[in-house]
Amino acid sequence: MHEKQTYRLLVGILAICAFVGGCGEEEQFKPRDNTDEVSAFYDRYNKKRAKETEASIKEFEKKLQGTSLSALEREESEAKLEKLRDRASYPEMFTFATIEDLPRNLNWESNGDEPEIGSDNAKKGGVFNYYFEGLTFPQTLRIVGPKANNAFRGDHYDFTEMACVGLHPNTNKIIPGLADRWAVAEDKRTVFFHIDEKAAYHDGVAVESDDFLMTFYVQLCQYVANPYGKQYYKDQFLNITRFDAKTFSVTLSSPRPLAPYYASLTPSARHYYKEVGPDFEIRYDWRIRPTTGAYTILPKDIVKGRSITMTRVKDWWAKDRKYTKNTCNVDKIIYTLVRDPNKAFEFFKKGRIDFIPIGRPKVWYEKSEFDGVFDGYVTKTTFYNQYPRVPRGLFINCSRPLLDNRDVRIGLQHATNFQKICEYDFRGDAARQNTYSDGYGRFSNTEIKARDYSVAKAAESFAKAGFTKRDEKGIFINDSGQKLSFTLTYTRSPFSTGLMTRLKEEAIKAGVEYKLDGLDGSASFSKTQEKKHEICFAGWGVTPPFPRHYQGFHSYNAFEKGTKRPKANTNNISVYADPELDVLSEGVRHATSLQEIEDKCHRIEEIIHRDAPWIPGYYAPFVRCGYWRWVKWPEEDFNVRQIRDLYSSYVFWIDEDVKKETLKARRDGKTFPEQNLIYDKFRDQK
Amino acid sequence: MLRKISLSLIVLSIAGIVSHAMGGAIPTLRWFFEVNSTFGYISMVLALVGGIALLVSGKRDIEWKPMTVRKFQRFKSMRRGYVSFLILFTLIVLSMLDQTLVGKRALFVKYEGSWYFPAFSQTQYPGSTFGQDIESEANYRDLKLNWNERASSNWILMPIVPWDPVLDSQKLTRVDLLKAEDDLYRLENSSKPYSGIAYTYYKEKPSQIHSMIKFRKGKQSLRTEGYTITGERAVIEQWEDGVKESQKYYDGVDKEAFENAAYTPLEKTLYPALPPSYEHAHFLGTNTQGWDIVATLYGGFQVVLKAALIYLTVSYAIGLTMGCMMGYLGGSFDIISQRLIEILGNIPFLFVVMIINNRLEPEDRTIAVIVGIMCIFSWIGMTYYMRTATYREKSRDYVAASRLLGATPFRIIFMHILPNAISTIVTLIPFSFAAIATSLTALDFIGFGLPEHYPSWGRTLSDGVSNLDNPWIVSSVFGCMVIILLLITFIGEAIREAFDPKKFTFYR
Repeated sequence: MHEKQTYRLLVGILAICAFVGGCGEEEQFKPRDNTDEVSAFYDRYNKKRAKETEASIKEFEKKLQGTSLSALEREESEAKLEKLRDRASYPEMFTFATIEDLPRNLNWESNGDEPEIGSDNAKKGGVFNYYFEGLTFPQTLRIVGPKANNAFRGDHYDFTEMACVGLHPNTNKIIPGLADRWAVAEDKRTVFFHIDEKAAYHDGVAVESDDFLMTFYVQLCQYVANPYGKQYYKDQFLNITRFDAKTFSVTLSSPRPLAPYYASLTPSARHYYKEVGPDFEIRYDWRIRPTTGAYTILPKDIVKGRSITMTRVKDWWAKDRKYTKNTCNVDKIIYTLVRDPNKAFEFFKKGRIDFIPIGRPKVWYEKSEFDGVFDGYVTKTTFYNQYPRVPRGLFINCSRPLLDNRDVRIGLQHATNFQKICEYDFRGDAARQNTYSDGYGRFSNTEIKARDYSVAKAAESFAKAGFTKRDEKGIFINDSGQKLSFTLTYTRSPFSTGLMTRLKEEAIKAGVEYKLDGLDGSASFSKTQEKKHEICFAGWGVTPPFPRHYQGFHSYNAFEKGTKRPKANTNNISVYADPELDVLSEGVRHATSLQEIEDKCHRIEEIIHRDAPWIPGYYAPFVRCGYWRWVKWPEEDFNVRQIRDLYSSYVFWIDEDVKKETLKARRDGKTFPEQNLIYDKFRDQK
Repeated sequence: MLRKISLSLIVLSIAGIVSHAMGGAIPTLRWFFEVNSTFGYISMVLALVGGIALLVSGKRDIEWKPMTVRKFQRFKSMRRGYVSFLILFTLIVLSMLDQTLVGKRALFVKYEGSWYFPAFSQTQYPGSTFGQDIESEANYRDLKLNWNERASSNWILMPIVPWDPVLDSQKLTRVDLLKAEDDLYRLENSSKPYSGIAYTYYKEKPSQIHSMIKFRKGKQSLRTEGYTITGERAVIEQWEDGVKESQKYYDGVDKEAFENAAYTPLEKTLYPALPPSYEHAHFLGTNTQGWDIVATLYGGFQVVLKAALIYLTVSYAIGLTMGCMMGYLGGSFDIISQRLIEILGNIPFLFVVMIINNRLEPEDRTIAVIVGIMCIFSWIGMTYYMRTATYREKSRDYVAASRLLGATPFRIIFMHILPNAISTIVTLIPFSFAAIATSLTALDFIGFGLPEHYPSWGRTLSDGVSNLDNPWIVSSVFGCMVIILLLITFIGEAIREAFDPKKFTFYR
């Protein structure tokens, strides 16, 4: 007994020490310099890759000499061999050349003809009060390694950090970033970049070609646990060549349109990453990264568990550049931790948060109708954006019994009432999704309309599959006693559960039973990744510019090679395969012209519509928000065309005079006209 | 008394068997067949056999011991507890009326001379049976409205609460917006000038919006949008305090057709949650899903009763047996069982239920399984009381006597010790009932309870808490829980008082 108590006391003291220690000054790490290690790494990696490629080539050649292969396997192996040979034609991943080696006949571009982004009236200065949208405090400020992909990464890295080039958010053309000019070689996959002479990190150190090589080192080195990134950098890039301190080239593994955009890298400051070593994760958790973007975090502004403040870089190198001069206007952005969405809204009503995105109809039509809005202190705005619509809906596991029957799947499309969700749960604000890739402009097939909810049509389609009788609960059964009863897996939240019960309620009328299987996020994700689901409700995060069907519908991602066993850990959660679609989706990946991509994407959508491996759901054609009247936005457009998070374009600014005026008016009980704005310039005519 | 019980058992079980075989569904008895029909028939046959056995045994009445009779009298004399008991008993009887009181299916329908009993039938009548233009099951609420409006000779009787507890959402209803003499718009039956959105719809296509108009303090304000009959935007107007400031027609829009089209008067669409209204037959309103709250509470109470039935039977059976055996057998059995109980007792019960629930396939997530998991832990509490009571009783002379007479341990435990030790257990029952009601609600509240097709107090509560601006949700379910738990507590206190051994015995 006595021993036990002593033990407990000890553990308690240790815990307190650890806690107090954790709260104190940042831990001191021994300095480290990996410059030599890095250059050795480049050399070693080159040799390793050459050796591996050679070995694989031999292996495939040997395989192809044998006679045991089926025609399909032979074709696949040959394609792989060809890729490997192509890879072998670039013996080095990292090449150090001289400026004399730079091809002479390059056609340099530096697109300065696109319209400016943001408004000329934007005033610099002011503080923007915001909150962590993820409702949690970030676990680290690292951008690679475990837990780095948290909800805050976008705010301090993805949205602000600059890459060599970018896409203009309104015209989708390539615009300069860190590179002031670039050129695409004739092979359509090697891109040469010249870095802007002024480009520098916030601490004044100039950006150099070697920093882009360093990016490869950070992603690929053994100290950083980053499986997806490692795979991506290995597969997507064949070579990076340094010509001089400001000039380098990147070769992609295959030619593609918008090659500069795909070859565009973000630099990794060598003076910052020189201490990368076995303790990378702890050492870099809270270390401030030199940034080429407009905002940095001062060490004193990380208040753990409470807030993080981003401060505008005093002498930002791009502050006078055409496409950036009117963005990133506020001096400070304060992210405060609020753990509950309702509480965040109360903070907003009080003015402690300047801006809040509003999605749910209930909040938009009921909660956000408060005095601050009527009195004109708070503006409510609806902005019609154009961004690839998240393919959200019910994905049907086509490898399961009954669901492998196309008539059953088409019947399910008619039995699933997403239309009611749009009208009832979203109050008519959401629209029915029609295809897997809506919102991609010319690449979307607008001819196809999703199958509508219809008890009669569903019954007709089920009858084709042999389901003609209904049991006492009204569910269809066939002659051998099989029921149209399926498990519907989804990630549980009060809102999603509401939607799924709505589908269930409506499906019963059409003779289908959905057994709801609401799991927490990670459990439902792994269940679908292991393909153990029957039907699941999911949506994929998608980004411009092109639709991607390879991940979701290619047979390579559906089955283990040569079998009918579903392949785990791929995004083909429909376990769907079609020979024609295979060819088309590969074609999109390797297409060299936009027209080719357009044609193939349209045909793919026709096939998907024909075979119904998923049931298209709903999307909101706009983003809505509320903000206090001192937050100003570009008058004409409000925001850029391609945007999902309204503030992430940083085109807004704070008008200090308006803020003073508003606060005074609020004290004196003076009101302004109500502002309820709609920007529909980018709305599809409908 | 005993005779009445046996007779009613026989009648009910025969009714259950016959009605099910003939495709009918009798309130409450249908539950047994809903598990599956084999289970239903087995339970009915068991009840029948039990009833007949009782009848054959010839006992007309239970012969209570004088002591027990005095305990009953004491219980009756405690007004608060007794009245609570009567109320709860009434509620239980009401809940057993089941679809007669609450449900979306009509009790009787008289249609073109034929009679139908949809609520008491296993088969569903498609809408076409009653001339409705739907392929799926008939919508009896619509039928009633329709026939009432047309003063038809057909006739329909709905339950008092014409809603199913789950998966039965209200239709979106529309309320007219009227212009008063002071030129301000108000909702029908409301005195407050209206602020919000209202719509007009095309008369020839009632699902298509003609105009979307915003109001502030009874006046048309802000932006007004008009749509063509094909759903394209036709016009945008800007209004301020009832005055039109600007108007812009879209290119290619047929202005004449838009302006001359016939449209409905201004209406506001009511989205769930609806406040309590007698007119829509939502006596406590609806939740955010659009489900009737009275029906949900009623269904939730039924679920609690079912859960309590399983829970009390299983956990008391295990608890009593284990407790008595530990006390009576003692020795190594006692020691081993005690350690087992200690281990079980230290497992955080709520987490285990959550983990197991998450691992279950949806078809396995039934009330029996969830309550069964709870039972794994719940019997422990009982064993402490029974173990001590048995230890005490074991040393009494009558136990020694029956042992000398050659009675087996089984007989001694269940025939002699248990009846003498039971009084402590009886006082525990009401509190166990309260415990199962609260844990079920708590589990549903955090989302690890019963699946969505069971009506649930917990989910309604969580819905209400996250939507405090619809106060009728949270207040209804909170009120309902408080009432039920108070009744149970009062009953429990009265029983404890009545069964207190100190009133009747004293130790030397």
